[in-house]
Amino acid sequence: MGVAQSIETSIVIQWVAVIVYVVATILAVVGVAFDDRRAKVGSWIAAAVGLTAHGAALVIRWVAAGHGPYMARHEVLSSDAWVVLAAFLVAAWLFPKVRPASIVVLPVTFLMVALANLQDPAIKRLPPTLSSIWLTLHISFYKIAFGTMVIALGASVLCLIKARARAPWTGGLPAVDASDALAYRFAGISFTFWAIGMLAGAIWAYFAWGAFWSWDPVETWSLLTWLLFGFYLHLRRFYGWKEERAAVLYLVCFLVAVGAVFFVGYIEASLHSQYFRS
Amino acid sequence: MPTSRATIRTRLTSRRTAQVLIGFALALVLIAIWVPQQGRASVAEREAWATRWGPWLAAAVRFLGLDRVFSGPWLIILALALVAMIAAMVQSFRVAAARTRAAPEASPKASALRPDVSADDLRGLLRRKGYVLMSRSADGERYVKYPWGYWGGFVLHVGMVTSLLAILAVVGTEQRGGVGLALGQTFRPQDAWDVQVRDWTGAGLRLPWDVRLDAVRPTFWPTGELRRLESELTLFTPKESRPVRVGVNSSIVVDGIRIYQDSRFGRAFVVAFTDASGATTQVAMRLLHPPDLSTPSRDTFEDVGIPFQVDAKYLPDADMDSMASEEPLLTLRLRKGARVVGEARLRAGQEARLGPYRAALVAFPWWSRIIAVSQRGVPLLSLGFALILVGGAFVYLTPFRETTLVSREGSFTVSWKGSRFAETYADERVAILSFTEARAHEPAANEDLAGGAPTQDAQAHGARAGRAQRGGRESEERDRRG
Repeated sequence: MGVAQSIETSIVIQWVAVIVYVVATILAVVGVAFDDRRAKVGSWIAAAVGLTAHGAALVIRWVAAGHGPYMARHEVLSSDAWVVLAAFLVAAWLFPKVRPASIVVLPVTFLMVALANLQDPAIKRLPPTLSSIWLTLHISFYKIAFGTMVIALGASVLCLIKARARAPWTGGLPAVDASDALAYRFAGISFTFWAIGMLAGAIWAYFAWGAFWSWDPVETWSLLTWLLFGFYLHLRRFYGWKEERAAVLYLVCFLVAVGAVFFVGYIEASLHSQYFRS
Repeated sequence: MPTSRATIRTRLTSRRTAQVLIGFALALVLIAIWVPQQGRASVAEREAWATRWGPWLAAAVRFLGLDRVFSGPWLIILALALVAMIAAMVQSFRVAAARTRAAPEASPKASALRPDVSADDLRGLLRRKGYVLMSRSADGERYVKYPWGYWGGFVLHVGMVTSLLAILAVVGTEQRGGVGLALGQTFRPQDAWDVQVRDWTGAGLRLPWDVRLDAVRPTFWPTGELRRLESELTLFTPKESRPVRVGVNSSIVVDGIRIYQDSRFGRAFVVAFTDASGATTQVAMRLLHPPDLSTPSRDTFEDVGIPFQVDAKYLPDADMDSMASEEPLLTLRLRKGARVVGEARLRAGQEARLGPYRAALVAFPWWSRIIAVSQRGVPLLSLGFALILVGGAFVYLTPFRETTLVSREGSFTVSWKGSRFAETYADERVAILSFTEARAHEPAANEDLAGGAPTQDAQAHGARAGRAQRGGRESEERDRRG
């Protein structure tokens, strides 16, 4: 399969995955709102099918590009979405209580993939500075961090909905304290992986150009995001912030993280610009 | 009432004090990175900073000593923060050790074991759920799941202290120099670096050898982007010469100094300007290699030995065919202020009229930039990072929980305690406490989570618990299904 054909095939499969994810979302919402076990099971099956197709699309593109999905905006968004959903499915298997967060995680996933498909899919070649195993680790850990961050987002949103909404359909949602505990735990996991991602990036930078840290705008915002999450965890751990108050703070932290990951590289000149700009 | 020494010690080692000190230290480090520090930054760099941020701010920074964070009074705050972190580390060790060695003790919330189940039934369940016997006394047993979770906080603290010490060592001892060399050019130890970072004593990096650039080897993708960049160097001392090769992401260590290949490279054009009287001035102009065949690299050169500014534009191939072509195209524009005096295009060996001169492209060797770094503490930094990762994993991925059996009046009381995120494994608690007379009835919230009713499950499980093996298996299967 030629490169152009591979790109086209990959995009078609991704659009199929988007449709399957939308179906999964609808089933998840119905399942949670009406406590319908069949709808819930259907949503998991659809999510797994979508994830498999989506993964195949990423592999096709990976083979054609000769490098992982971390150069062009198109593949970054798509692979981030895949990791978000994969992390959620693993978490849902290990911690059944997090499953209702699917009503947040699934829409985030399909929106990211749809957005990815609207970007320029042209393949960008890997420059020499990015040819390093540490880069692969750096990006992988950040993707996992973002995935668990979205799970914590889902739990925080559930917490807020349960605390504030009085509609009958919210009866199927977890209790406020249960969602709050999940948000706390996954925020902690994402904080740890974000730190590992930063450390791997620092090690990559050290081996690439001899400086662990260059105060590149993307690096700086990544550090600020991490400190903000550390502040959130600190308030929870030592000052008893929880439930609604913690959930609102988490939303702020998440928005900053989205800005740091997806927007700073476009706004400011950065070592990461060749990675972010399509 | 006079404050006792114990009270002072408690306050100095309290969490609040540690948080304040660490916050201060972090702010100081960030300031030290923003403000050029005396001894490390050159006078020119500090003056440029003052020009950029304003004289008032520069004066305030000097008055407050923020340009001497590591060599002035602020070092005391950094030292106190380090002491606070070490004290916290010692405290976390004591807590972890005490928890590990703790004897079984019934909690006030302990419930009696149900009469229809035995302690062995409960022990079997605990073993299946991964609990291990941590301590035993004459009348009790303490089981713990993930006992290493006790040490997560301590390992995190050790990692943070180690990393902080290592960062101070790395930053303090770092000497760095960067220089661009054209093919055949030699950099000597006494020569000035293009850019330099000095260590905390103000000493700059002085190489123990001469360095000569012998070759620059860029390779490109078929689409024209740079794929790989390597330079071949020879390191000379009076006794020996060593050929070495460095590449992007492929640094080398020689005599404790790490040499990097910078990603910047290009052509060092040498243009001979001959005026009407026949006098010739050779002008050297280094330009970065263009990003692709059709996008030129540009720069402006002043004070080059002729009374004009020279705007230079460089394309990698005059025939627009190859990124590594030996036929680059150089376009020059001669200016005096805004007035353009002349413009010419030059290929290899060509000459052309350029304002009042005949300009000839004499040579265009590759140039490449190398970076040399000397520093200590990197292995310690790696160790610190590894410990932080391990500590974080212990804390967030494997939080410990305990079940204690204490014999009382011929029977047992059972208590369960979790550390962080207890709600995320409430089912485990329910399953264990279903063996007690309290039956671990949970409020309605938990009943929504598993798609069923843990209370009902717990009751059903308890009824079957008399047949110990089967009851345990069914409970686990329900837990698995969620």
